[in-house]
Formats: sequence, structure tokens, C-alpha cells
Amino acid sequence: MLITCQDASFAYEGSIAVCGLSFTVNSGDYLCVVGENGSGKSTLIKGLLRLKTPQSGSVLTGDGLLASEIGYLPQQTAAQKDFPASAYEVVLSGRLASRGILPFYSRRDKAIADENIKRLGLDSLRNRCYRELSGGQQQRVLLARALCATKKLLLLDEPVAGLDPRVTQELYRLIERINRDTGLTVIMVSHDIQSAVKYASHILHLRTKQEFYGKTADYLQTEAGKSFVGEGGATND
Amino acid sequence: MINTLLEMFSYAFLVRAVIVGLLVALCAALLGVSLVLKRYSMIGDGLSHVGFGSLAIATAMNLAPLTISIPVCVLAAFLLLRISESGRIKGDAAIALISTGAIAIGVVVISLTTGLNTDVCNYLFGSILAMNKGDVKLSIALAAAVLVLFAFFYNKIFAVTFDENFAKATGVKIGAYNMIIAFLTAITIVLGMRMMGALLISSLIIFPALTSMRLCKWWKSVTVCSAAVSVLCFFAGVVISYVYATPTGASVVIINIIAFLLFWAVNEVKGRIKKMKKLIAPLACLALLLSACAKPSAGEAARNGNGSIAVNIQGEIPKPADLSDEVFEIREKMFVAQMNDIYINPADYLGKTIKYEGLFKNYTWERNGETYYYVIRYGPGCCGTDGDCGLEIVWDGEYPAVDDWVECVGVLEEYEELGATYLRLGLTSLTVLDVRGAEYVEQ
Repeated sequence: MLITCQDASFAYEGSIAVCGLSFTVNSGDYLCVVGENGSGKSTLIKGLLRLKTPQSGSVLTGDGLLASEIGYLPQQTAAQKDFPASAYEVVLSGRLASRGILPFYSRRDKAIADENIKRLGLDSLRNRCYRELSGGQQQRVLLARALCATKKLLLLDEPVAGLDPRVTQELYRLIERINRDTGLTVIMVSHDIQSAVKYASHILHLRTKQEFYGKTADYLQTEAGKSFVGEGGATND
Repeated sequence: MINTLLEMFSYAFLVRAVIVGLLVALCAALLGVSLVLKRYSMIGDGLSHVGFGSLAIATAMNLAPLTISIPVCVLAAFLLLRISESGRIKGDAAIALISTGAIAIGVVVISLTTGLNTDVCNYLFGSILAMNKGDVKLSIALAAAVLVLFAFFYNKIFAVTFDENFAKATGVKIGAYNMIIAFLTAITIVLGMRMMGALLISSLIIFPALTSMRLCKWWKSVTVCSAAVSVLCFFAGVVISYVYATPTGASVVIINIIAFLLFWAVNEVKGRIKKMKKLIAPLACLALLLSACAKPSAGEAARNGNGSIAVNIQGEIPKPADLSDEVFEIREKMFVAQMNDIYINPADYLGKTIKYEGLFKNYTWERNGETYYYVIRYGPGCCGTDGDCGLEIVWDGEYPAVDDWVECVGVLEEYEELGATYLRLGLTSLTVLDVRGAEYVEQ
């Protein structure tokens, strides 16, 4: 068991953002967290990253997972769009947490960065400026950075937001391949319910409380699943 | 060009100022890259206004300016970050609030105590002020500390600047690093403020970063390039300020504007013909910049009409203002700054023979009915006050008429009167000259 939530709830200044969270994530799982805006997805991410402590209940980590070992892919910020940095510099910064107080990267850190650049097919973009890359390329760079930070768990926050459909599918396939080939656990927050049920092994559906948690196949049998997938499909078309 | 530089660096106080200035320019450029990208450009402006307020208070209380301003500015930096983070008042509004507030307090304190004088003007617009040696040592030590800390936190500053959320998630203490950046910025601002002026110091933070971002694409190259641009622009600005007697801070900013436009133009051209190699372009720019600065040399200076220039025309390098020389001459160039240095570092000059030209003046003090004699020139007074610049003199012979143009030679001495210590020149010669020099001096 990598992560266990036991009846956890999170609050902002007294008002509950999301409650009744009880689920387990095992090594190698691919969990997709779905739900509408304001359903508590971002709050849950903060809880998993240990940036927010639960109001009640608990979030436990197992298999020797430290909070600093989570490979996180946050949503992009406006400031990054015109940021002068090479793809390599961005990827290498994923090793930061492992440095602690030490000021400079070791040879091993650089080797790990190079390895992940190769793994995501970024060799030709290595020395390019981050702001000149396409949206999909930027996400791959950030994914490589996340991979530099972890061996166990990837946490992706809306990774396909703003990407065109073809690039979106490529990125999904890439994430699936990483999950399958390396056994890395993936937790993804997404609006895109169609792709969620297509790729994920487990689904966590939130609506300020936990609506459903279980295998994807079971989710599709539930009322919530049927209606949400139907709605999602309708709006996506 | 070489002659101008040698002449410049014959002034010991100018050498000290330039060393401190170059270090500050370097620190500001390095921190600027992060501040500009974090959308904190105005923090430098806000802190410099706080610096002005605290300098005003320090002056009023007769305390060493740096020892008051540094803690106050560091405190203000922390406060600014706290207010912006708590989100109750947005960052830009918080900066405007604190900076205008500090200026108001400073101005009120000044008007209640010393009144608006040259010192205050210098704090606003900057000048190559003589700094006392303690300040110089403190400045160099602090600037070195800023550089070392920046190098130490280089990678973390990148991570915090590029993506706070990711850095936070991987356990980096964002708040602590923001504080470190603000802390280093506050120190840099205070150190550079008296030279650049409270109104202009933030340009050292913003311009080099933006200039280098026109052409450089990597974090590392942006950092290195802005450091280089900043140092070169500062140096060119000081030289121009010296040659044309323009205000130092403004001259440095003008050079920075030129550098920015050059980099921007090169980037535009590069975008059209993608032939130029990455490195050649900025180097060519800098070379151009330097050669442009090189033009106003000896001939140009001669047109300014000046006693020391006669030496220049003959192609001789003016003698360094070495204090071991028998007679230490204060020339028309840097007259005000040199006089300032005598008042700020009197220990360096006491017992030396000093020679200079100026207007003969006298003044009778009502309090004790005694008359005092001076040789002065009109300095860059501010708001109608504090315009005279020179020394009190005592002379055994007959005094000339008021407003005669005289050359005086004498030994600098200290004397006490009514509990205060004053400086004066015990004259060995006082000559009335037919050819008058500049009565008004700017630097």
C-alpha cells in the first residue's frame, strides 16, 4: 500500500472542502481523480503532497514513501510562458528535493536528468528554450522533471489542459507507458472523463465528498459513472 | 580614453565609489533576474523609497546612514512579502503603500530637522558621494556576502522562480527562499542607493535582466549576461558622468536604456535573418557600446574649460592625487566630491598642504561677533540652500575683497569652538588671480 486515506476530510478556514475520503492506492495503480470544478480535487492533491493536513481522519503513506519523493506535475503558471530556461535546466531542477541543503547538483543528478530526457524523447529539445516549445513539448519537459523527483509515485494535475486532441492522446499514451513499463504509480486529476476510464485502473469520483472509489470497470456500472461519462461524452462532442 | 580613466582614478574617493558601485551593480543584476520573472520588479522601487525615509531619519539623528537603513529596509522587505502572501492587500498595492508612506515620513522628518539640503537631494537622485572608509568596507563585505549567498542558492532560486508549486511539493521551503531573495535585495538597494539615488536604484535590478532576456534563452546565460551587462553599463555610466559632469545614477540608467534597445534590435534582426550566432550578437553590442563610450576623450573634456585640462591637452597624464605629494591640489573637476571627501574622511587630509581656487567670502556670526573667512565655489545646492562648497581659511596677511577670485594654499587643521570641532585651512599663501575659474561647479 502506497497511500491510504482513512475517512479524511480537508477544510479551508473552517468550511469543509472535501470529506469522507477512504481509499487505498497500491504500487503500480493508475488512479484517476474525477469530478467537477470545486469538487475538492485540488484540495486532495495538496493533502497528498502534505501541504495540507487533514481536518479529520488521516492520510498514511506506506512502502517507505516520503512526501518529497512524489513526482508532481503542477498546472502551468502564466509566468512560465515567457521563462528563459533550457529544457535541460527545467528537468534537472526535479532533482532539487534530493539535494537538501547542498547547493549544487551531483554527477548522478545530471545522469538521472539525462536518462529521463531520453526516456521522454526530448533529446533534440535538450538545449532549446522552454518558452519556445509547444504546449505538448512543455508538458513532456515537466513530466521529465517529475520523473527526476520520484521512483514511486507520479501526481499529475490536469496534465492535458490546453493541449490539442492529438497531443493530448500522445501524452496519455506516454503516461500509460510509464505506468506499465516501470510500475510507477500514477495519480491523475482530470476533467477528461472519457480518457480517464480508458486508461486508468481505478477511479476516484469526488463531489465535495467521495462519490465512488474502485476499479474502472465497476465505476462504469454505477449510476454516477454512467451519467458522468454520458455527460462528459456529450460535452466533449 | 585611457587618459580619462587614469585621471578619474587619480581620485581615491572615486575609486572607492566605483568599486562599491560595480559590486552593487553585480548583485542587483543577479537578483534582478529572479525578481523580474517572479513579477516582483517593483519591490526594488518600494525598498529604495523605504531606504530614502530611513536615510533621512539617520541624517536627522546624526547616525551612520547604513547602520539604520539596512535593518529598516530588511524589515520592510519581510513586511512586503508577508502582506502580499497573506493576500489581504495585493502585492503591488502593498508596495505603493509602504513606499509612499516611507517617503512621507522621511520628508516630514527632514523638514522638521535639517531642512531640504544637498544630502537629501543626493539621496533622491544619487551622486558620486564621498563615502567614509567604514561605509566602504561594510559595503564591500555585504556585497560579497550577497554574491556568495546567491551562488550558494543558485539552483534553489531557479526552482523557486520557475515553479513555486513544484518546489513546494518537493519540500523546498518557498517562504524561506522568498525571504532570502528579499533580504539580499534590501541590502543591495541600500548599498547602491546613495550612488544611484532612491528614485533610480531599482533600474539596476530591472534593466540588465530584461536586456539579457532579449537575447539569452537559458537561465544560466541570462544570469551571466545580465551580470556582465550591468557591470559594463555601470562603468560606462560612471565614466560618462565624470566626463560630462552629468548625474551618476541617471547616466547609468541612460546607458542601460541604450543597451536594452541594442539587444532588442539585435533580437529583431536575428529573428529576420537567422544567421547570427548566439554569442556574437551580445558581444558585438557590448563592443559597440564601449567604443561609443570611448569617444568623449581628452579633446571633449578640454572644451569644458578647466584648470587641470591644460595638462590634458599636452597629452600628459595628470598627477595622481597622492597625499604624500607636497601640495594636494583640488581641481575644478570633482571639486564638490573632493571637498565632501575632506569633510567625511578628515583624518586622511589633516596636516596636508592643500591648494585650490575659488571665491573669497566672509561671514560674521552674530552669536559671537566674530568674522570668518572662506574660499568657496557655488555647489549644486538644492531647493535654494546649502550651495557653498569650500573651506574656512585663516591668513596672517591682508584679506582681499569679497568675491575676488583667489588661489589659496594652506595646511588643513582642526579647531574647537563652543564645543564643536571645525576644519580650516591655515594659509601659507593667498593670491588674487585675474583669470577666474568656474564659480558654479556641479560635481
